[in-house]
Amino acid sequence: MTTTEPLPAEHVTDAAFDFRSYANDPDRIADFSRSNDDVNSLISVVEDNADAIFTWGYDKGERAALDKLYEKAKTSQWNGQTDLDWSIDVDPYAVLAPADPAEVAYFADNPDSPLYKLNEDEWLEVGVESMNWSLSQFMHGEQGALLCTAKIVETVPWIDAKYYAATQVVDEARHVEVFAQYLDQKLGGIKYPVNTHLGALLDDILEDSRWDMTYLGMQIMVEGLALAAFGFMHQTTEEPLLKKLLRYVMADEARHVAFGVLSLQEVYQELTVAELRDRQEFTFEAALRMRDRFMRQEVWERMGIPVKDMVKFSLEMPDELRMFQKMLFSKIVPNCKKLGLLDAGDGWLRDRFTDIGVIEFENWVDTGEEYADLDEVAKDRELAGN
Amino acid sequence: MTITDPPVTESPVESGGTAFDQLIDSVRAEFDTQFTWDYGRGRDGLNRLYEKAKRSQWNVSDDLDWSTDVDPERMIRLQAEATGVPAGFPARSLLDVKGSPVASWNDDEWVEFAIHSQCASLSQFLHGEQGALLCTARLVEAVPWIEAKYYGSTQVVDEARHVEAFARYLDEKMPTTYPINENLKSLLDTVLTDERWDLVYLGMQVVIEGLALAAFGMMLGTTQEPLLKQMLRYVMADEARHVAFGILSLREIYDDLPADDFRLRQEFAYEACDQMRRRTLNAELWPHFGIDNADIEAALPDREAQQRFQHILFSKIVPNCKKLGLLDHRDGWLRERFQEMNIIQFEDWENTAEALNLEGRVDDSQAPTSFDPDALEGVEVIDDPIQAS
Repeated sequence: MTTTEPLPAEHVTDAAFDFRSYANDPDRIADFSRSNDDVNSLISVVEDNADAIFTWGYDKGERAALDKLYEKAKTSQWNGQTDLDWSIDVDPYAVLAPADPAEVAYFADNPDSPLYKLNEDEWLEVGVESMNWSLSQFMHGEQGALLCTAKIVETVPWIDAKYYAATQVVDEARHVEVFAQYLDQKLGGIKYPVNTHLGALLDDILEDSRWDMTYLGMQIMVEGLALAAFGFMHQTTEEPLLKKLLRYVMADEARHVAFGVLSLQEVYQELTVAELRDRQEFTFEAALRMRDRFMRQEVWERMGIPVKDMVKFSLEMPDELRMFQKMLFSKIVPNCKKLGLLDAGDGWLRDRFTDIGVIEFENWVDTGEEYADLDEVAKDRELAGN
Repeated sequence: MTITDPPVTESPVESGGTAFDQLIDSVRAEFDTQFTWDYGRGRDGLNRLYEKAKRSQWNVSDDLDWSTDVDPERMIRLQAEATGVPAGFPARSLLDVKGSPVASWNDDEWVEFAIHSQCASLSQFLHGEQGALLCTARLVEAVPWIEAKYYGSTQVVDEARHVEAFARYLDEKMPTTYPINENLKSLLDTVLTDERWDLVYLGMQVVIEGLALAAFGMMLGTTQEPLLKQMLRYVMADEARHVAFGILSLREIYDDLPADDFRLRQEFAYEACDQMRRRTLNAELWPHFGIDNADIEAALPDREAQQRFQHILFSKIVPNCKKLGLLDHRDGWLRERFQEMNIIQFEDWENTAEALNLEGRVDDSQAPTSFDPDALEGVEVIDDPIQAS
């Protein structure tokens, strides 16, 4: 996998640099030609640069919040084969969420839109392909999470964090398993390779040798976005198997984000302003990549629609139609605030989140404690027991 | 239990004098993380093992009776009574040696020694399990098969549970915890620093887990303490899956391995076994009793006889090496080494993969139920506590 160009270092310190234009440059976003080389390759390799850490301090519960999370995770395990009803017959069209009429109108009624002349069947195809693409990206992202969490088990020096992270490794394997099975059995197979921006982000996270960067990239950014995206899909789909699958996956994800928040709070207290600035820049880069990944470049390419034109047209969408893209950041921004990343130094990250129009979520509920309320697995078991 | 050669020094990793005065210990990693884009699940043996593992999880906090009162002295005395083996054996045979520093020890002193010996063994189990936790996490990253990533993830959580269980037992029930043995640490470092992921399998899943399974079995067979018995039974049920994971995976890899590469695996297996055989089991104990290891070594009448006691620890490794074709490749090079080590007699002992009934073509509908608990040599299979309730 080829990593796309990172934010040029000299611009990060340049007060006059136009981050808004950089963020919204269609050439940058639509360029995924370099990653297409290995679309047909069955594996992809990332160098792991981190040391494995043994800890000789075995005192469980030294970090009470992590210990509580570990105990919770032990009793909230579920089985992808037996806890979901795979006998449910899925009509790929019924899985689809009803499209937002205003958004459809924006693309369908404007002569400049690459989707201007689509007929009803073609619109259905956009829906079916987009669903397969979304779930494929969720699945690939879960594999990235599996690898990142295994790396955290190796690199974190706290026994409570190693214990908890171990449960997360098995959570992530379960998520890959259920998304892969859903795509394979219910949606005619996995049609999409990993999105170029998502792939580049996963590589960046895995290659970094600083263990707190794995947390920041995976637990706060990727998992935080997943929690929001799953929530959105869960609300809009009526397909019962997918609905339950997402509900259970989200219950796990809420713990994962909590793990990130609880761990990084402790780490960041010790960091200097310069070190925090590194984390702020990493966060902004990750946020851009994740926003860019939702442009669905691979869908347009597959359907023969000019990718760059689609990206450009999507970026020009009026603000009031962008609710979905914005909602993706509804967990990330409050969590960054809770970690002190928004306002560290001169508030660099606050400015960047303002540039990409997501700062409005800063006072939404953070995910440090939310996981208990989201434990759908426990709720179902309680119901079944009564 | 024997006093043997000093720790191996030709290890590729320098053993940094691991001690409890440093709270963490870093091992440099040189390996690649691999994504697989092939999500098809074609490896039936590994699929069954994954399903089995999902249903066999247990919880250290709830499934073991921590209210059990453990009196270490009573534990040792009851064990001596039940087995007819005096406390402190085989080190206790030094009692009869003229000039031995322990020639005047009475029974109480040997009981005290045996308590510490038990602490030392449990401490090595604890540290070994942490090594297994790190190695298995590494495998999840490095192995290119989705079925192995899935199964490996369950093993990560198994290993965390084992660290948790041994740490709690030592902390709540026993008087002390010993630092990691240098040979064990050196082998773990070798395994963790190797960039070839199949050697992580061979070192961790076959050699270290194989040794652990035999050592747990010995302790389970002798102790009368109910909490420890239950804990070991549960841990062993997990370990049997872990060794099976190594065998099932390595057989596929070795099928396609060029002869020269295969030879390297034979040598790796030999060196790992040799290192573990030369483990100085009591080296950390004697100083605690104010005795110099050199004085003990000087008093040892027959080193070979002492080592024989340890051979049973290899009873799982040798048959698994045979099953993998490692024994007889290249004119039986490894067979000769195992003969020199006096452990070849275990070659036909029951194989772990067969014991788990995971071979051959598999009917998926039967995957979870066709597992035969009796084949695990009396180790009880723990059902999913969630499903049972």
